Order: sequence, then structure tokens, then C-alpha cells
Amino acid sequence: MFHWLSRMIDLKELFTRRFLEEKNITLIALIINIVLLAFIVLPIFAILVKAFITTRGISLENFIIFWSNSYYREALYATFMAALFTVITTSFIGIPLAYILVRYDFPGKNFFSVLVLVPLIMPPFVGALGLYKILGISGVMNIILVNMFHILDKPINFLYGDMLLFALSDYDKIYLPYGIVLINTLHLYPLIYLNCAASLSNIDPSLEEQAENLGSRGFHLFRTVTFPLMRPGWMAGAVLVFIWTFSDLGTPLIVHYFKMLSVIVFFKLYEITAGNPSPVSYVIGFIMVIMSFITLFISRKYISLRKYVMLFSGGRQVRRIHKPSGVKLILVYLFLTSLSLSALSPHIGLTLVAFSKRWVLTLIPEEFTLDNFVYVTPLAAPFIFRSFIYSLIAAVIDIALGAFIAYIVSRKLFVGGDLIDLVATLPLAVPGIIFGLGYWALFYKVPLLDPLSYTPIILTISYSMRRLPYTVRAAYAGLLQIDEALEEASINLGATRMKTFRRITLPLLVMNLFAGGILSFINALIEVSTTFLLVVTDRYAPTTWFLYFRALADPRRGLAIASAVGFLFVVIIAVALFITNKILGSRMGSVFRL
Amino acid sequence: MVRVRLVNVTKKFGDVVAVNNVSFEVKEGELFTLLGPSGCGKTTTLRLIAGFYKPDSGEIYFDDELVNDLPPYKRNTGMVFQNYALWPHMRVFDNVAYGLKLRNWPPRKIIRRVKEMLNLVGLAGKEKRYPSELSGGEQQRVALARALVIEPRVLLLDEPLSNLDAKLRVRMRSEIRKLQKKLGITTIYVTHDQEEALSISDRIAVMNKGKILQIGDPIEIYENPRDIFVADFIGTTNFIPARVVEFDKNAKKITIKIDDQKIVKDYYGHAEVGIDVIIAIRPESLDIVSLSEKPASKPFIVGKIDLIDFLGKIIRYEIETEFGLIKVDTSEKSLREKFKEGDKVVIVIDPESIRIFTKLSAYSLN
Repeated sequence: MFHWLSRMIDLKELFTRRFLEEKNITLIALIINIVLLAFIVLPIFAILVKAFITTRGISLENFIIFWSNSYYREALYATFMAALFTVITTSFIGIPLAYILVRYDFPGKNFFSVLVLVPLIMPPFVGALGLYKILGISGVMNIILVNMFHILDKPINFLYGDMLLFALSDYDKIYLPYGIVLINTLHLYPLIYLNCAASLSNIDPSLEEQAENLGSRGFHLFRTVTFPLMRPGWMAGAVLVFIWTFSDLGTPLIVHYFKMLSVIVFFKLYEITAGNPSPVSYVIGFIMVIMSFITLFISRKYISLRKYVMLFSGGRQVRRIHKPSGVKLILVYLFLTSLSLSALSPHIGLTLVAFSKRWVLTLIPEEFTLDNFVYVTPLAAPFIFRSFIYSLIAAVIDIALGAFIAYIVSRKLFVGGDLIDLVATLPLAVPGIIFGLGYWALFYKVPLLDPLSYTPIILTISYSMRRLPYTVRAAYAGLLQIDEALEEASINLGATRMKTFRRITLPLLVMNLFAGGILSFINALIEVSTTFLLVVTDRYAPTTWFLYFRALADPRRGLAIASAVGFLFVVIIAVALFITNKILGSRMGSVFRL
Repeated sequence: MVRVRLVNVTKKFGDVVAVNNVSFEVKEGELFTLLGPSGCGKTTTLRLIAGFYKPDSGEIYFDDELVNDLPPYKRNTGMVFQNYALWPHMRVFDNVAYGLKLRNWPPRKIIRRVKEMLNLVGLAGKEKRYPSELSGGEQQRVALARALVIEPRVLLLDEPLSNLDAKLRVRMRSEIRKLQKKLGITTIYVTHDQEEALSISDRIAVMNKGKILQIGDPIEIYENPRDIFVADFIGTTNFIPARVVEFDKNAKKITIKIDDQKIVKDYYGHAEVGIDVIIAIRPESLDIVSLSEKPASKPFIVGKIDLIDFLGKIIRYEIETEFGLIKVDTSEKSLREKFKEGDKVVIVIDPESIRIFTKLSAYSLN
């Protein structure tokens, strides 16, 4: 009892002292809490609540409306299946890829490790655009299969369409939109690969040696020891892939596959501005939030597992790297080459279309030109300019918030720092659709924040919140490498914590923040779902909006000029990532991990 | 149980010769220790025996079977890693049962056998725990049980106690010793801790820079170091420079001079008059007396007490002399009152307990 009381007094004294000495820090923490609450927590919460609000008070009516419509049900199944199958396909690529690139040593390894990451420098919907002329109805694949080798009678659109998996009843058919799975697989397998590779290289070699010592080898060893130990990484990657596909708006729109939950939300948006918000949108929002929470919860559980894998240390570390030879080596090259070619095909397709004058029924364009760029650049210029402004401001906000959040969390300045960390990481798992929908639910007709009249403000805020995890993580990674004693030395000499942060910590952190900022910037630049949900007119619209609603909609040469804009995008992103990579080096991968 | 025999085994990593022409034989049921500082090649030797490395040259035999090309998963050795290498995703039971499952034991027999083994190492009832829920000592026992349960031909222990605290380390080493004797299993034990090696081993091989310097039982290694490195590495040793003034090859008598005092001693090695030698003497073989008690018949060195270090059972005096710091251990409590730091004293050398090394070999005394 007495002990407990004295602790209480300690705590109170500590708190008051800290508050008096470090008012500024406390104030900043307060602001951060308000921002996170208003723009991350409450919008999510609003969706969860609004799903239950009906004209007749709180009820499950909205869910009943959703569920009684077989089109919605099929969309739910299709969306779920697309996400599930994408996880499976990306895993079948990503896990062997990680194993090969971490455990094998062979000529050309570094070349391939760069090449397989190429999908990351492509906004997903631009990738889909690039595949039009390769896997689309008039694409190269069909030319080869139909016209050249006569394997098929008539061309197939590999991007659009679905296949019946099984039927629960006459009204409940479960379809798999294979085009969406295909595009997302090519785009997202690096997430599985990066997470698995990180886990794999962290495995203490003695854990596998011990299994060998007891008689295990080959696939048995992989199944019983290696894979279980890299499962945390795989889970983290799988969660990202699942959520991404489940809520992806850009890809379904580009391939015109509209029986997806995200597309339904998007098409029902006008009902909100018409003063008649659709209950179905919030039900879908509810489903998506719950999905992301479940997956996030699962991955958190596994991440804690990852921590205790690291608990065992000491002993010598002999890295397990083999040099494959013979058939094995040939298989490795075959796998890597075909993967790299597939991964590059959207880029190749995009580039060819962007520079083509005419491309009909031939393997490559008949004639090349710069016309598409000349034509589209003046049209796109104001949109590109706006994109840069929004993304730049968003990145600056992220850098400021990220630095403080990482500082507060890593130096354990306040009780509840872990909660701040969790909320700031949430945008990695919570889809952009949720942010868009949540902002409508919360800020419609709110002065300064209304998406209808104050689009630039709310759009910029949505960008910065969506990409906050990048700067938080980059800063956090940097802070872990800065010895706290450097700060304590400064405080010991009489500087306040705020001054110490400014004079000691920040200068040491600046490169990490810059790198995180660049990542925030380019990801804001290519943001599709929140953009499409929050932007209503040309007047405030950024580039992605222009690309889909203006360029691609051009009846004469929509694909070519959209590809030209897409090509510019890819160049910008490649440059930005190159700079980031120079700064972050090997730590770059951590940004794409959960 | 097998004999393990290494014949002229060499292992290089790039330009570094980790194990240099090493030969030894471990007898059936023996606990054989590889002792040496870090980087001396002892763990590499152990991993060669386990099959994680292939020797560049030389042969490794289990009994009369050449195992050079046998992969680790076919050698049937039980290894305990320094960090225990417990699989964090498996419960204690599954960790221990792993090797048995691989040997296609029927489930019921596995359950019984694992239970027996856990009883033997004192972990009954912890089957369902995960490794992270165990203490360091318990984790160590699981690792030991997992290695022993498959009835390996030879047990390999790689610094198994180095992650435990001092008290537990002493307890576990006697437990390992008892268990090993009870099972009669041929065991190769790697450690850098000379005290541990002396206490646990049947025989010790002292290694440095990839080479074995001396093999012998603990008493022999301690009392009769054949190499200046061994003398220095095992226990604490004072080194004092001296010079040979007479050497009678036939009578095997050597006379050396420290300062201007002569010491005559039996000597079976080779020496020449006039060369420099080093004499080694353990702190417990030295005595200190006051200046007035200078002995007439024994050699002595004069010095000043620099530090008195109370170590519990004994008191260690560090005495500054013209030959550097010389350490003297004594358990006589009466001396505690007699001398203070800063006092001038006389160190008395017992000629019987000194060892003479003529060559510095590769080892330098700084």
C-alpha cells in the first residue's frame, strides 16, 4: 500500500517537473495527438459508426440492404478472391525469390536483385496501362497466340474478365477476376520478397545447422525450420498484399472490371454530394476496416514472434550461402529471367505505347514519335503542377510529424508512445478508400475541410496522413542508430530537451528524414484511391485524376497520351527512388515492410 | 559410442589457416576438451567434426569410418550450440522430438523417450513451454536433451555454458559431467574458460592459432605446461627472465642466474650456456617475507607491494620488482596484518616449482 502510494507521488512529481521543464515537447505531443485523432482515428471511426446509422436509428439495416443484393455479394466474393489469390501467387514468386537471392551466390546476382524490384517504381494503375498492349484484347500476347501460332481461335482479354470458381447457389457465384490478380501479382510480389528476404537473413544460422545436425535436410529442413522462422516476414508481406488488392481502386478501373467493392464505393460517391449518402458505401467501408484490422492484428502477433527470434544471440554466425551449379543454376537463371521479363513487361509496354504513332496488330509499333508527349504536356501541365504542390506540402508535413513522432516513441518520452506508434503505422494497413470515404463522412460541409469546396486542403491532408508511416519509419530507423548518450550529454550540459532535439538529434537525422520525405512525396504523387474519392472537378485535380478521367478518356488516342503521362510518372519515381536509395542504402527495404 | 580420430586436419578460410595440421584421438566415453582463446580454431575443429566444414586436408574418423565426405545430417552427432539454437516456433517437446521424428520413431515411443530425456535433464513437466518461456539454464538443458535424445555417436558441446551466469555455470558443468559419465558418451567440449576445462575434462587439448600445443589430463596441463603459452593461459603465471650459466648434458643439470643468484635444477630439455630463458612460476608457489628475513639458501627477489587484493580464500599481492609485476598468492591470514601496500618485501622462490622455457616460440610475452 505504502509502496503504491509512494509510486503515485513519484509519478506526479515526474509529470509536473517534466511539464514545467518541457512545455514545448508536451505541447507538440498534444498537437500530434490531435492531428492523428482527427485525421486517422476519427475518420475510421466515423465509417464504423455510419454503417449502423439508418433512417430509423441505429440498426443492421444497411448490412441487410448490402447482403440482400446479389451483385454486392458477388463483388464481395470477387474482391476477397482477388486478394486471396494475389497473396497466393505473390507468395509463390516472392518466397523462392527471397530464398534464391539471400541463400545463393551466383554471377549476376546483384543485377537480378535490382531488376526484380522494378515493379516498385511503377504506380499500379500505370502498370495496368502498360499491359494493355501486351495482355489486352489487341495485345502482343494475342497476336502471338492467335495470328502467329494459331493456338487460340479468337483473342482473349487477359486483363479484363473473371472465371467462375464455384457457385454457392443460383444467386451466389464466386468469381475470380484473374486480370486483377495478374496485374497485382506482377506489381506486388516485391513486397513478399522484401519482407521474406529480411526475415530470412535474420535467421540465426545455428538454428538450421542444429536441424541438419539432427538429420534434417532439403525440403524437410525448409518446411520444419527455415520457413516457420521466416513466416513473420511472409505474414507482414502477405498482409500488405492482401489489403492492397482488397481495396485497390486504380487497377479495376483501368481494366474496366467494376464488380469490386472499391469500385462500388467510388461510383456511389455522388450520392453523398447529392445529399443522400449511400448506406452501402459505409457497409463496404466497414468491411474493409475490419479486414485491415484483422490482418493487422495477425501480423502484429507474428511481429512479436519476430522479436523473440532475435532474442537468441551469441555464438558465431556462419552465413549459409551456397553456390548452385548444374541443373540448379540453370533453374535459378530460368526463374529469374522469366520473372524479370514479366516484371518489366508493363514498363516495356508503357514505353512503346507512349512513343508509338501507330500500333495495330504488330508485335512492336510500326512508327515512333514524340507527338504524344507534345500533345499531352500542355494539357497535363497544370495537373502535374498541382500534384507537385500537394505532394510537396504533404511530404513537409510528414517530415515534421514523422520526426517528432519517431522521437517521442523511440525515446519513450510519454506514456502511450506505443499507441501513437500504432496509430501512425495504421495508414500502412488501412486502405486509401477508407481515408477518402472517412473524410467525406466526417468533413463534408465542415469549413476549410469540406472535400467539395476545399479540395486542395483536404487532399493534401489525406496525402500526408496516408504516407506518414514512411517518414516515421525512416526517422525511427535513424534514431535507433543515434546513441541516446549523445542527447543525455547535451541535457547534462544544461540544454533543454527541445533544444537538444534541435541542436543534436535533428542534424543527425536529417538524411533519414529527407529520404522518408521523398518516399512520402512520390507516393502522394501516385495516390489513386483517395484522389479519386476526394476530387470532384478538374479545378483542383492532380495528375492521376487527369490521367484516368481526361487523358485515357480521350476518344482519339487516349491510351497513347495516358501512357505518355504514365511514362513521365515512371521517370520521376525512378529518379526519386534512386536518390532515396543513395541515402538510405540497404535500409531502403525497411520502408516497404510492415 | 565411438572413438573420434583427427589426422593432420587443416582448414583454411581464404588466407587464414583456422585449423593447422591438427591430430588427436578421443577415446570411447571420454570427455575431451578443446581449450583456447577466441579465434584459436577450437570451434572450427568442432564444426569439422560435426560436418559443417570439410577439411582442406587430413582425415576425420569415427572409429575406423572415414567421415570426411559425410554430410552433417548423416553423421549422427549431437551438437549443442553456444546459443542453444532452440527453435522458437516449437515447444520444448517438439524441439526434443525433432531428431526422433526424422528417424521415423513411432509417436508413442517418441513421447516416452522425450519424457525420459526431459526427466534426465530435470525438465519434467515443461514439455508444453516455448523456449522463450524458459530461463537460460532451462534452455541449456533443452538443447542438451535434444542432442542426447537421438543417442548420438558423439556429443559435441560448443561453449555450452558461456551464456549462463557464474553460479549457474558451475552447477551446470558438474551436471553435464555427471550426465556424460552416466551415459558414457564420447564428448568433445569446446571452451575458452580454463577453469571450466580443468574441472570437467578427462583430457584437454590446448589450442592457439590453429595448432594444438599440448594434450594431457588436467593435472598434467596445469602442473607441467610444455609451452610458454600453455603456462600463461592456464591459471596465473609469473614470468621472470633468466640466463643459463651452466648446462651439464649428462647429469641433466642446469644452472641459471636471476640477477646474481644461481638456481640449479634438473633439466631434460636442450639448452646452451649463455642463452636467455624464461622461468615460469605460479603465484601460489611463491612466498613473501620481510626484508630482515631474507633466506640464505633460496633465491629471492626484492620488491615493493603495489596492491593487496583480497580474493576470499586467498590474498593476492602484486609486487613491483625490477622484473615487472610479480603476483604472489597466499592463504595465510596472518600476513594480512604484517604487510601494507607500499611495504618493501622479499619474494622467495622455491626452485622445485619453477619451469624453464628456452624458446619464446611464436608466443610473445609483451
